[in-house]
Amino acid sequence: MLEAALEGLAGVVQPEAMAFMALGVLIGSLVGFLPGIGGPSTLAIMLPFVMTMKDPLLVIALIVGMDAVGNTASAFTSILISVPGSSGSQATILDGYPMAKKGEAARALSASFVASLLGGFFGAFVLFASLPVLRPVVLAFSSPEFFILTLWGVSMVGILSGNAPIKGLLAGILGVLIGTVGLDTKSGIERYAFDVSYLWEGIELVLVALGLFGIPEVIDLASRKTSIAKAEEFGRGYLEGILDVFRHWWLLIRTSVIGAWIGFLPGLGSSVADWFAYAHAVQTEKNRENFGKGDIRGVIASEGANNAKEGGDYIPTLAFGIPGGTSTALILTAFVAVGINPGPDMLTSQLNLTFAVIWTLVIANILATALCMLFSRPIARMCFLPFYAIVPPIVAFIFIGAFAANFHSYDLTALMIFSLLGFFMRRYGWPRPPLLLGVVLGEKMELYLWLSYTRYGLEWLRRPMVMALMVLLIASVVYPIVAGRKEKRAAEASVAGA
Amino acid sequence: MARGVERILFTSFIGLVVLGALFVAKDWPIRASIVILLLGSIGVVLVLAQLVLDFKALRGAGPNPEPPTFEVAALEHQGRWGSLEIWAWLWGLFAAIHLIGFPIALPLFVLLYVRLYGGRWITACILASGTWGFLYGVFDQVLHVPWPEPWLRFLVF
Amino acid sequence: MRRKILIFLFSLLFCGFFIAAAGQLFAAEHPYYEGKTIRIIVSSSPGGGTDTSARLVSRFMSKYIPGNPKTIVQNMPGGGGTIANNYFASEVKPDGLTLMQDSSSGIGNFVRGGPTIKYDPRKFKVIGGVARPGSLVMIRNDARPRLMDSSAKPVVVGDTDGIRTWVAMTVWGAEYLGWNLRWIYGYPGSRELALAIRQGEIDMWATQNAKLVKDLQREGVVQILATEEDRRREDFADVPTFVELLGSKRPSGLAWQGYLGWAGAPELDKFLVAPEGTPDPLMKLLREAFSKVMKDPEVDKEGDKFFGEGWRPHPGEKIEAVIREHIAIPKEALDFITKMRQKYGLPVGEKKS
Repeated sequence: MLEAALEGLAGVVQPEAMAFMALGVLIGSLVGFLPGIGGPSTLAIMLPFVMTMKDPLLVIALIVGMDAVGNTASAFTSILISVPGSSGSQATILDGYPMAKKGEAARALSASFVASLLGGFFGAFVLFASLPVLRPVVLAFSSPEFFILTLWGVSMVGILSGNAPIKGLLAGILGVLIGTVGLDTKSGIERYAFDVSYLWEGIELVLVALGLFGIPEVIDLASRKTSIAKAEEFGRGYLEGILDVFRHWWLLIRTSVIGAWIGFLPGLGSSVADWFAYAHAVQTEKNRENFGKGDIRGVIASEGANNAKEGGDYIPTLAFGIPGGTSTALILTAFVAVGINPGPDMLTSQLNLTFAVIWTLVIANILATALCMLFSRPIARMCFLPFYAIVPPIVAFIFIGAFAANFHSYDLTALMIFSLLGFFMRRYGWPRPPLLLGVVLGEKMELYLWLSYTRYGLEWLRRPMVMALMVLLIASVVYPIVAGRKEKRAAEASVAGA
Repeated sequence: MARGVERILFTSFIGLVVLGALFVAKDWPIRASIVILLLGSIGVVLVLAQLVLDFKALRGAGPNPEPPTFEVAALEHQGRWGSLEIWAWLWGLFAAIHLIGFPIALPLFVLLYVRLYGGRWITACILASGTWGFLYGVFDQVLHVPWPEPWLRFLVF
Repeated sequence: MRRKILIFLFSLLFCGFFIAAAGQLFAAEHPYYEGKTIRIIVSSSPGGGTDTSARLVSRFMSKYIPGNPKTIVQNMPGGGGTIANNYFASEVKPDGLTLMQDSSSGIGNFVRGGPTIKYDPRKFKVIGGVARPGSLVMIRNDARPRLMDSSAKPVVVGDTDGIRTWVAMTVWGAEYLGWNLRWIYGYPGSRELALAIRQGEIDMWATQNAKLVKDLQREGVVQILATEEDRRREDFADVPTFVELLGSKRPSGLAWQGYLGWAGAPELDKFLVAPEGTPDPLMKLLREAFSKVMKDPEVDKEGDKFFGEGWRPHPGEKIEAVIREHIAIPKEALDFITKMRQKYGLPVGEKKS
């Protein structure tokens, strides 16, 4: 094992490989920063060039380098302008943007980059540590277990509704309804498509996110003719953010684990990683009143998770040749073309290549963080630009990002509809995160329930893993309630005592 | 007061959407509709409960309800028109994209907005050309995005 | 003096005409595609089989088309291919500069019909296509004994939507060979199905991904029952074709037409088309270029990497004929398919009025 590790490292730090990795990191960061140009499109474009390369190490350096760091740079737009740069940085908006408005953009940015870096390390580490138990663990999770996991997501809806549970639940239900639009594979019916072929494949999540979170904030800025932040001194926050991450190291580890696992398990899809991590933070941390108003822990939780999930994502890809999503599917194609054979070989005869992947994840994250830190000062200054210089580029950004979903003019129509929805939801006090969760989880929940039932009848309830997960789920719901009550009692006692 | 009425209207709108979804789903085979019917029914009950709360808030005329836990309070909009102004711009952009095409409408929007709200010509030009450069360079040349045909084709050379 | 000037002017004029004429002649020599760009529209999003075929072809076409035009690939996903097909049928000029890479789902959607279908694939002119090797049906080793034993628990077949072409094999196997099966469907994709068969959540599955099948076989998870194709595959020489399996129990008439209607033609997979009305000389040029591309040894290797060995190119004329045949399946055969699906609890799809 050790020689393979060293061999992998040696391969990756050669000058040629490092050059390719730097290129990959650059492209990946740009792609993460700009909405709409997603990983899949870019990878698809790179594919022809990659196919002509012969050396697997170079391919790994370039492609893994590119793929692993998209989530680091996407924090820029989430924090500064409330526009999710990629599906991984959505939850970052909830606390990142308020921090920017308070003038703490630098703190939020540096915290998010360091959290991403360490989270990425952790994902790589999880990949490494689980090499021996990879296959049995993946095989232990089938439809019933995935269903319970989606229920965990449902509990998040409750948490993220905060003080408006009814509206939050309704938002979640609305989200599920939106998620059902499109072809339902288990019945062959087009649901809610009303004979419009654009809707057959469903509504893209990015359109919902951009419309719900991006446009309403822009409208705020434009209506008040104000810049994003007023306070002038923000330079200090830089160091503060880095320290914050270390102050909350235990939170970072927990959320990285969550992120790595969600990336690992093929059932849930990676867009939920940062939401789950965020909700977990809310559930388990003390003094939660500040969440959603600019609490650094929200940023740390979300960003730590979304880089960790990249590492986790590679596990089913390498161990089974089963891609975790579109990007890993393309990566798989690239690997196969160069002679990297995912499957049992990766753990035996091609172990050095597996290590090359792990090392690339580590080094690429370092490069990306350095790059982002370098640019964060100048880019963060945009918070203080006058609104007329900010609003048009943001709007342009959002429109381009929306259009890149399907390159269809209906994308823009969908964007406008969700913008209206987001605007009114905000105005009338309806929480928006549950809606997003509903879109992401609703279909999966339905699917796994259906598969569990048709395959196992009601037997699946008795599976050991299912029961274990249920216990964990109930614990995770009950714990914050109990802890909250204890806190309140302690607070009351101290008030009474004073 | 007006805001209170607006809230009720919005809640009712959501209720109508849920009812509409239920109505469409009832004709489907059970395996496609079961989850929707279940959640939709719960949704209807919740909407009614929320409507009750909204009416009480209206009648009670208590302090403005606090914003949802995870949101920063929506800022009050300035001026007579509040947010209608920016909405007009957004819908205008939307229409322009359909009429004269993405690559022209977007930079034009940037240019006009910056200029009309007090920016200098140089700022406007830089931002607009940056937008155009991005659209052309990345989307057209690298990604070969199929731009939809603008409706006023003849205006676009 | 005047005469000299006149002669001089005339000669100048004459030279001018001569040069112009010569220029025209040269222009006529320039290949049509020189300096031009061919746009290939792909009916799916980046990364899938259709997209990969398109990019493979686009990389090499330029080499073999006189004039060496640039080629670019544009994705136009949506509607399972409908959006691209509709656009291609109505908006694209037949000047040989815009082509479309489509897949058999474009044909399938047309046959299903409905108000959103605004194209007719029979009118497209096919340049050529690639057909990936047919699906291989596999069954878990521990489920094999139950296949022919109707008193045992049924063997579980898993699929995404229950209407894949290989499912026809399982249904006809149940009907005519007495296979003891039950179907569950709704899985999001091959990734989940591959996992499910490893876990034993499903017992039977089929895929075109030869590598995956080999891996599963090697690990002792499955054995391979049959191949969808009409002749044995070189890389799986001991696997019988489904027709061989049926042997004497193979039905004829409507029952067999129904099978063919569902299983589809093996040639129809990913193909490149030009719009209706593209002039014959251009079609000839493009078809020749396509067949040269397919003979390029590098393309052969790349194709093997992407599609697995055993993929085959097919000429445009053949695919056009297959499309017409496939669409012309008689209504009674389609009804037979529906009946069979209903019998075994598979989705019948929307009812079209």
